[in-house]
Amino acid sequence: MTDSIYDQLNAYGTVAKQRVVENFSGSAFDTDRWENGFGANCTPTMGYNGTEGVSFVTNGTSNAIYMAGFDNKCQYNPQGFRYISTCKKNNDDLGIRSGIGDTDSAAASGHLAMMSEGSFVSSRALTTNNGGSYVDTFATTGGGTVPLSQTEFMFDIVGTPSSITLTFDGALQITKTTALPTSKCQPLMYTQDRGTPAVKSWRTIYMECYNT
Amino acid sequence: MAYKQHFIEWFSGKQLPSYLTFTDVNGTNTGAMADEVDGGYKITTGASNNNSATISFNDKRPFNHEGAVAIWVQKGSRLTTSTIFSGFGGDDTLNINWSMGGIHAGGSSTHFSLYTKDTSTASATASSVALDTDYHAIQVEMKSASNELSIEGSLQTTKSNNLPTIDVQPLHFAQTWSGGAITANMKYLECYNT
Repeated sequence: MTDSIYDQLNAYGTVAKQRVVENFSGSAFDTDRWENGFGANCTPTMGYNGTEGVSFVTNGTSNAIYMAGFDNKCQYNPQGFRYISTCKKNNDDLGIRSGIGDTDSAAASGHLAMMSEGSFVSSRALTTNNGGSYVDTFATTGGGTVPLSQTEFMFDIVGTPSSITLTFDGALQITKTTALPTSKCQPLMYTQDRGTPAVKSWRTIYMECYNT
Repeated sequence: MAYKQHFIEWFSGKQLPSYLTFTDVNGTNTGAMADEVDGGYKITTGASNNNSATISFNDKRPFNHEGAVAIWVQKGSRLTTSTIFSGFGGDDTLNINWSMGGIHAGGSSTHFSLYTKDTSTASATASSVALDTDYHAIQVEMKSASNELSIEGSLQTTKSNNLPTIDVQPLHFAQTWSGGAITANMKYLECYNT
């Protein structure tokens, strides 16, 4: 077997496209890579005492928010990308979105493709925007809607010129062909405290994004 | 078999990670993550003749000059009067002891080449791949008696003279010889000892 990771990830003779792999492991959230572009009263905290990955923890203030991005360095093609990550929340009144978008501000992001969980939506959804408004699309295949839950899950967003799909734990749930983003994007992870303010959190232990 | 040193960098995020160091070799130049699809990290040289810069490990040299591989994906903006190459080097100002591949049009090469330098003398061997401004996957393997250059997985050049004599670090280098500023993008870098 080759010693090269490059050769394991790319077919022989090909030139690799942009990729990032984030393991969320270390003494502190990587602020060389990530920037909080939108929000306050929510802190990314690395896992300890058996808690894995990074947790985005609100401080009990109403509407505490956090949006981690690449400071609008947009290297990913929304019409040819894949975004793989995990999510686990500890409170149902917490809004979560994770995926790619063109702006690291939920107030301004015009082009995006993100998995939505928590109280932003009534069941897990693929949220997209192509310069207009957010459009939530809920599962219509693979057994109907996917309920919100506090169980850890993996999700996988794949974008092509004609569709974006969302897979949960290996099962394809959503294929969407409208409101597809077209502007170059960056990875984004968004948190918002909703309902009665309290200390709430969600965590992720892995994020990988690459152009296809 | 014991595990050996292995490094991988994706060049994707807000800024260059702190374990990589940007160095002005000559003049004032800039480096930043590119806000471009597949842009990686981009060095932009100053406009004056010979302005140049590197990114490196700040002269921490964990890679064996007689047994290491570097693989990277780079592109350069200009094929004349410029040098845009990467691989391994002994120091971050590119004085001596390097083994690098890429564009060295300032030296009149019209093809991607393998350039090496020992403690005093530099020399180049050209590949069969003509220069262009597209991204290429380039590999340098340092062995005990030779260095090899591969492009897109195909072995191009084997060189046995003027090889580095000390251990090395990863380097990405851009220099304008004349004709204004150039850019050099790097979107992947992997190095390991063999």
